[in-house]
Amino acid sequence: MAQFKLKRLLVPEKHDPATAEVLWQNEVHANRLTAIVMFCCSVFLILCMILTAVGVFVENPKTVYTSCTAALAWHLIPCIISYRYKFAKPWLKYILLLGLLIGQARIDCGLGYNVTLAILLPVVFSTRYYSAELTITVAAVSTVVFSTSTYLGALTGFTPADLNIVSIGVSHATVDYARRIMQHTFLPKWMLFAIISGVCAEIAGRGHYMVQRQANISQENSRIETELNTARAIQMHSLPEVEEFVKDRDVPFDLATSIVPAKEVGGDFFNYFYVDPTHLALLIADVSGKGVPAALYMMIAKLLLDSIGSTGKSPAHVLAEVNHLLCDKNLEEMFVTVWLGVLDLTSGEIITANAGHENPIICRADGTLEEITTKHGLVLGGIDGAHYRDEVLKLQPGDMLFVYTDGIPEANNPLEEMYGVERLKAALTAAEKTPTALVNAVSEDVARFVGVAPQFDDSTMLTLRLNRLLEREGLRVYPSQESIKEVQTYVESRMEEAGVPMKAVSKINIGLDEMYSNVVHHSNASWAEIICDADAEQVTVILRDNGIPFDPLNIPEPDVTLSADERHVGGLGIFMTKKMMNELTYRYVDGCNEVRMVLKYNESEANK
Amino acid sequence: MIIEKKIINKTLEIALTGRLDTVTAPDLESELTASIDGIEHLVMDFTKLEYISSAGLRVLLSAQKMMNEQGSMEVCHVNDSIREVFDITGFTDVLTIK
Repeated sequence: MAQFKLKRLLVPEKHDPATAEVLWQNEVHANRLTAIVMFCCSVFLILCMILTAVGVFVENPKTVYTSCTAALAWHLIPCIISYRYKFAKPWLKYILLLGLLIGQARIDCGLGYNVTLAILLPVVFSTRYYSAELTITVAAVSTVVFSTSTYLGALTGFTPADLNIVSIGVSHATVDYARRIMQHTFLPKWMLFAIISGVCAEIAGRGHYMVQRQANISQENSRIETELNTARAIQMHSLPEVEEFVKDRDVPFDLATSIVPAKEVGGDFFNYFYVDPTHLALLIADVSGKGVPAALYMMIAKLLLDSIGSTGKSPAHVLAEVNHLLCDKNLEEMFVTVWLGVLDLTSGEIITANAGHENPIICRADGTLEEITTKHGLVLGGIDGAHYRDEVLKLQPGDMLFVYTDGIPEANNPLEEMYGVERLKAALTAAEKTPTALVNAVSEDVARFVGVAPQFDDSTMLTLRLNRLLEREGLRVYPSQESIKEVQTYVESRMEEAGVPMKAVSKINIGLDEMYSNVVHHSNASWAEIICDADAEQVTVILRDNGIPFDPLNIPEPDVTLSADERHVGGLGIFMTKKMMNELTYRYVDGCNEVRMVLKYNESEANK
Repeated sequence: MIIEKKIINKTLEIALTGRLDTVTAPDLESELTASIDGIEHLVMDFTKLEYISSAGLRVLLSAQKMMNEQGSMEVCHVNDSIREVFDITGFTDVLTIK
């Protein structure tokens, strides 16, 4: 039983807001219940008077009328007051219980034997307030009030004689008679009352504890819900947004995506990012299971796929490497199915690798569908050392690629039928051939099929339409020491074709030597791309690499006034290039360093 | 790049043909290291040199530093492109250009 503290009656126990709210609502309900019961008692009291008047009750009418009328007032007035305040005042319970107590005592006073149970009523109702303190207090007050009422009733002759105990009439009421009533009637009744009061106090205390616990649980639940909502926001923000992705970019493709998690957080994800300016990586994945475990695993898998995927390695290599990392300490036996493709925007070729994921579908420009059924590798996180194979697909301008997770074909309707790949293909065939229309059409078709059946799996789609091919403009090399000659030759031949004057050729050669040797020696890049564009007025050389971000314009200029012995050559090359070029700019874009050199010359020189 | 060396008494003459850049500078450096012992006068003939990049400047600078200790060094027949590089980088003041 909860610890009894009388002062809690005056100073309410401090509760957290949620518990206090639940307890307060309960108190309002209890007030209402007590008031209703008191109102019912009032009705019965009137009924008693009527039954006495018509002779059904043979009690002394005068006693009945006086007792009932007084009790009626004690019952009705608190009812009306509590109704007036809509049962919602903290002090109402005292008024109600006191009214009930005194009202019942007043009946007890006149009709003691007829209403033996009256003494219990206030205590029983006090339990409804879930406060052991209140119940015990009411029990104590009941003891005082009812002993007084019984005694006074006996003394004044209201209480009729119990013929088993005394054989005297009403007019013989004396102090001695009252003492005997107290001793033989009230005392045994009170003993029973004390036991019942104890039980009531225990019930009230227990009720209080239960309410508190329930409030804690619901508070915990709402905390979890808030956390899940935040987790969902984090998860959703980890996925790219098409609009933001294509913003300020001239992209030769359209993209559309859709993701619907079955729970707050899910295990499905997709991504698309530039590996370099002409290669777009696309991936879609589905983690086993759902909810929080899947979501945690998803974030790990996504991070690994993104970081290893952006190194420029082939999809099969990326999957093998990520698989190896996921297998390490994968105690929960989770796994993820992944389809990864790298689209060469200059040729339309997609190198793909599949780790146990659904077959992608290509919607050709002429309307035919092709399901790509190349052999799959094992899911990632399954067995360390699993092998994956690169397959090459080819997209022509106008072709669309559609990849999805199993939530689409495995969506079930109320008859437990599955949506299936055939229905998916039919929807794809019927849809208008833009990525957004395709995704919307499939979403709507699945929703129509599913109807009211609850879905248990996340469903995700990613669609790309290749609109045109990018022109490959430059030379792409592995930045080795040996490549320097190749790059020089390439740039020189481009300048020769355009008839760039000798002096400008030398300058460009110097600039190229400075910038490209930096890439070779310091960038750690796995590729470099050189674009040279020359016309009658200027030469533009763009140098890109996927190495460590390095802004050559951001290094301090050397002091060119020092003597030979004090001199260092560090930074001199970049300084020279800066001085010789008309424009030298640097930016880091799509994971690549990009240096752009522009050299202008006047026409007379160009004609030399 | 072609490196032509001529040693007369304690004078070393080096004539360069082609480009002195990242690719070729290490060759010049090793040629110099091999022949510079006991040399009191170093002449670099740039008549047939097309251009020079900072990698080449590095070699010229280290040669100049060595010759400061054991004699003198001069660079001759410098074309416009190379002259511009020397001007930009302040090498005009460091080297003896004829």
